[in-house]
Amino acid sequence: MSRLTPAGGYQDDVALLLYRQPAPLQLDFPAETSQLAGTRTALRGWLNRAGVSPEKTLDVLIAAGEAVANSIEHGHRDRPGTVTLFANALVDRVHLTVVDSGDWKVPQPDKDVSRGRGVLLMRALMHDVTIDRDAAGTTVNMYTRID
Amino acid sequence: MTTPLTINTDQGRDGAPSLVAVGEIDLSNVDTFARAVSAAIADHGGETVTLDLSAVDYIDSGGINVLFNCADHIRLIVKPLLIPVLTISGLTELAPVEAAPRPATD
Repeated sequence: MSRLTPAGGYQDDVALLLYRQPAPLQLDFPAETSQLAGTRTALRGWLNRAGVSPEKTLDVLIAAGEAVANSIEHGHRDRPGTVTLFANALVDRVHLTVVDSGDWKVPQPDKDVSRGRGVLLMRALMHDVTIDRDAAGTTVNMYTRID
Repeated sequence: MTTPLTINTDQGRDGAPSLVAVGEIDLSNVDTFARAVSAAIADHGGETVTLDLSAVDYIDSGGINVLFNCADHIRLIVKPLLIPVLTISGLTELAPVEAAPRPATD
């Protein structure tokens, strides 16, 4: 910061804006397993452009993948629907939101070991994981810190 | 399209049974992976099977479940990048997990 200061000091108030590329990512896709690889590739590329480390990128990909897999498995088992994945890079964090129009139940780890492990992984890999369900569908919100 | 995953069952250089997977493991192909792992274990009646996942870039909880279900019969070789998630899941307490050497160009 001090290296940005002109030799003669500032003449007025200074505002420093921190801006992180790229622009937010929004992916809308059918709730089908065939969409998983392509969605992951798009998110991986976006995280790479945001300067996220390979380690952190994998955390985000797995957490996002679990949310999307839950939407596909539980939210849209009986009817077709869409999933929206939204990612936003702020100065020090990446926010992820996964929205579907289904009504998947949050798996209980001791009752549903298989998908329960997915939710545990999401909570271990990301911060403030919230899963909100209402009549319209399910929304998962989470974020992780980035350097 | 199913996520690309290639699986070969073979013998390792030391003659021990081994299964080599290349690609990504997710909900779209986890059943194929589970069947291949079960078959490799069944074919070698109780012998430990080496699962070489050093060319697997992604595995989700479904894939990790497969590994949990046969943890007593496998040893794993994975990308160093995957070790943290396998540790968080608790798998490393049940099965030997070894980091694959990093490719020179990685």
